[in-house]
Amino acid sequence: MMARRSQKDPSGVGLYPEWSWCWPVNRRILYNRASVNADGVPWNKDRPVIWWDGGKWKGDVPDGGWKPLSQAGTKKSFIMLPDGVASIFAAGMKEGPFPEHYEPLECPIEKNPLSGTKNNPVIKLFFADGGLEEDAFYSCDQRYPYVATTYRVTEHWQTGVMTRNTPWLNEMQPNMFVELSPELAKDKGIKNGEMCVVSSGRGKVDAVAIVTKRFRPFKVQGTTIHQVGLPWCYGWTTANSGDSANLLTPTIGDGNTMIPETKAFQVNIEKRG
Amino acid sequence: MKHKAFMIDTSRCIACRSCQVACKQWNKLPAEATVNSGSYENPPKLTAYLHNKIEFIETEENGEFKWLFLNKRCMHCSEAGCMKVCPSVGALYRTEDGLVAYNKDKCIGCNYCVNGCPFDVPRYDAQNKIAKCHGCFDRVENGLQPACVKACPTGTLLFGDRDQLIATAKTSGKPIYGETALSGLGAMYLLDNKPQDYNLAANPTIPTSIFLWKDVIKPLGILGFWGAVGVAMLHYVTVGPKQLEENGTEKGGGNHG
Repeated sequence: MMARRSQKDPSGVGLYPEWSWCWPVNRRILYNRASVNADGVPWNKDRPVIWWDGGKWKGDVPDGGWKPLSQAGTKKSFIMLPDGVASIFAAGMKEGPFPEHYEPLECPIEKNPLSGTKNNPVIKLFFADGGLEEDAFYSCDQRYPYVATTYRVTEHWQTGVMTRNTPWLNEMQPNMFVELSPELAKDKGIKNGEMCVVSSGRGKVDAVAIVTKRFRPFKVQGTTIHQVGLPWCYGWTTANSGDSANLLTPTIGDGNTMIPETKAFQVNIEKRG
Repeated sequence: MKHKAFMIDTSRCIACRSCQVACKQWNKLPAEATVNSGSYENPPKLTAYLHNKIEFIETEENGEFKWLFLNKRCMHCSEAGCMKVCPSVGALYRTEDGLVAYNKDKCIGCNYCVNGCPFDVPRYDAQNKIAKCHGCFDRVENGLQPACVKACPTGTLLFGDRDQLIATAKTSGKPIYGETALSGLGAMYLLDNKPQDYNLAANPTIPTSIFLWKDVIKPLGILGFWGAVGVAMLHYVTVGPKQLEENGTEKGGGNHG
């Protein structure tokens, strides 16, 4: 595959068919027959992706080899959808089609300021099904007054099982940390670089404090709400790297895909004694 | 001689630190044990095994947070303090492309270059030999870009003909750091803020003591040495060699030593 590599671009629109490979048949653009009219003539003649040249398709590898729509025995362009046409919203989904704001399951305020429904009605609640202790959640609970979010760092991939055992990468981002605003750090008597304990209703982790103005207190409905942030790329398989922030996060699945609500939950932070 | 140089457009840097890792990979430098001490920046300083690094500097501008990223490395000065003070010929040398490289075999581990550098760059490895960025002269001489430049995904790090880089950089309208300092740096910056905000000296200079040592005392010393030899020769030619008395004392002695 590498031996055939070239920067040829016969279409002139940047498909570069001989650069790497697009699984499964080196088709560069999905549903590309939608870019032509019923006679197989590109809608945009200046930037053709695919076109019908008498007996066959030219340009990109056609997504399904059927003839243009004006001919017999053809099939619509969106071949993987049941009705063969593009959709503004997907049928069969629990949510949608329009965006709506709900508060996270664990949140610092009592009511959703934008509507009468506080939480997403279709989220998957494990605790409601008689879940484990680790599935508990505590909204508007004074024990966990700060909003927390989790994220990745450039140096580590996902939970870091590969990258934090790569010495050069671990050298750059060696330990679990928690980022907080100078205001919150002052409130809690935490100095930059000090070890802290971050706890939620489900667990606790030790983390080095990074006090930074990148975090700023929010003003929400007249009250000050602090946020902290933690990476989730550390864990016990690397000595001295620290614990995973996923010990803190809630086990709540979104209605459609079960993606957990790890970007907004409630914690407490204290200087480690 | 056409000098090659780095041009570092800090405004493009996203602090991915590909440059740090690429340098370690090409130069076969080991990782060092570090701890997070309250910053993303790590290791905290250049080391003998870290020849370039990104500094993370948090500032504010009109009440807005601003994160500055600076690729810290050897500046490959045209008037290089390290080369001036180095007493071992060939330990530090200038490549055909104008980079300041070194030969560890010739380094005697005297640490003079550490004091001679206005940018706190030279380091000594476990064998007490100098280590710093050498501009990947091995790659450059074979028509390749330095490893850090090759790995930079944003075009922050550029390497090439110094005059050309300066000409291109001038079209940005930003001041160029290092265009003329120390007779022209081999690593120049396009800075968004003042040099001081990046912990860079506005007017980097070689310490006066170095100047005195290299440009005044050392030439005088050399002059003195050869002068003494010359006078001795002259004395030998005009007066003749010392002659010993039979009892072993020098003729007319008592006034030597």
